Amino acid sequence: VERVYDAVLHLHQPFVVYDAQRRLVAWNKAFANLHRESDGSCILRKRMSFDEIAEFRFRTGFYSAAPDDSSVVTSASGLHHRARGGIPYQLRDGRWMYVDRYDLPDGGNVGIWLDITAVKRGEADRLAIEDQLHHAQRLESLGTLAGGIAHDLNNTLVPILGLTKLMMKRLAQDSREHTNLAIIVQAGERARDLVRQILAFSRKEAPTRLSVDFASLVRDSLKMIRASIPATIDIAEAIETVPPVFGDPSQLHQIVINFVVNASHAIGDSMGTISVALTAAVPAAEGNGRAWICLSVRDTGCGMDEATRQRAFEPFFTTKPAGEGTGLGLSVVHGIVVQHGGKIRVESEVGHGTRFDVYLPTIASEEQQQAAEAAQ
Amino acid sequence: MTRRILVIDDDAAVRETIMQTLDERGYEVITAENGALGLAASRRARPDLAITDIVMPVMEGLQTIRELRRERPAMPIVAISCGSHAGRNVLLDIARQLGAWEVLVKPFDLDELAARVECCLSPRWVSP
Repeated sequence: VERVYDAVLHLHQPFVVYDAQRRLVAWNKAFANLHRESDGSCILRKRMSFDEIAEFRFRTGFYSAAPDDSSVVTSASGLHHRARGGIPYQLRDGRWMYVDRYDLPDGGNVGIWLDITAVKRGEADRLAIEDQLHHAQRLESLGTLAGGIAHDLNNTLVPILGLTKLMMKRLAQDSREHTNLAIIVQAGERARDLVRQILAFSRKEAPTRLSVDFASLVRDSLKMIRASIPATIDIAEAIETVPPVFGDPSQLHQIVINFVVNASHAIGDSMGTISVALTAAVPAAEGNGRAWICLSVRDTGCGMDEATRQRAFEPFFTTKPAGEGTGLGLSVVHGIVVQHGGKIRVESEVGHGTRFDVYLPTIASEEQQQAAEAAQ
Repeated sequence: MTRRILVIDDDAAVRETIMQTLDERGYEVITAENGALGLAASRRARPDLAITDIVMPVMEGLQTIRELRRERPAMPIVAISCGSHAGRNVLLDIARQLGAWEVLVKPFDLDELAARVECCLSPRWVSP
């Protein structure tokens, strides 16, 4: 008995015994350590009521947050367990505890605290991975679906656009019929552009891989897009010379265009600035040991709330009024960046604007990576 | 002399549209709804040029192009297919390698199709 007592006393897991009146009977060092005042003195003493202990816990912010479990009641009068079963909860030091209670024959009970921090962390990791996988699968299936629809739509558009234009030729230019047909052609062309976006998004083939001077590509893209951005919006360029990247120039071009168009929509009719920066100076922490270049597109527009930010890259998700946004711009960007082995970071604040950072690996870093893989 | 053009596409509306476009420009147009029928029509009617879709049932377009090239090496072929990003389309790239003179991404501008057809049939065009 002596040795059991000694073992329990030095257990790392907090251990406590209450009597039938819920008064403190015995406890070990680990349990005592949980109940110290800021000066280090332990509050525990024999025959202390559980309510007193609960009061201490409540006063000192023992729990990092009130357990969301309804079996624990938080109130000014104390914090106590309603149920006998085990409840996982987090302490203010970040550890997760699971308290196991066992009834004793005399009506009292034993509480054994188990540190389940590692388990909880593993669970959180697993959930995050599942979430990512789910997201990837969703993007994948939507892509396949979209590709199939796009194929049929393109066939459908041949007669819509073709025959309409043929009819227009036979009608007087100032006739109402001619005007109506022109509207049909416009609508058809809009549909055609939408289908192109969908196909860009669903494309499964490997993109062309050329050595691309991203700096001049970004400059060219901005020159091209400038005309279609309202004059109230200023485009500030800070383009540095960067090492070449392997990529599909038309796709990389698309990234710049989609970001800038998006940024201009976020600013809308008001005055604003779109800042486009390109740099090879990527912090080591971001670089992960490899050489990257970073394209940043920042706007002073309306920004996104967290819910919108979460779904920003999801295909067909848009905050624009029906008929105005395809919800494909950013998902296309996402697809392209992933195909290029890059990554995207988003920061946004409602009312202040949004910043997208796209990281792309440089050719040197890809070669380095391949050499490293070959060496293994 | 009226030039005869064979249009192969499984979509009736696409066939009709191309037919009307070319008909208006004075070409004689015959149509087929798949590669196998297209090949038979090519043997029977000896067209001056063939326009073929790529994704079709019975005999798909790439096989059709191969067969047409074998049987009629000098006949220009225009391949049409549903497009991919920025006009790049792997199937059309292959079609070109197989000997299609021109490739067009759907939905293409019909004036452009007509222009390409005319170009293929003009005497200064040298077979590749």
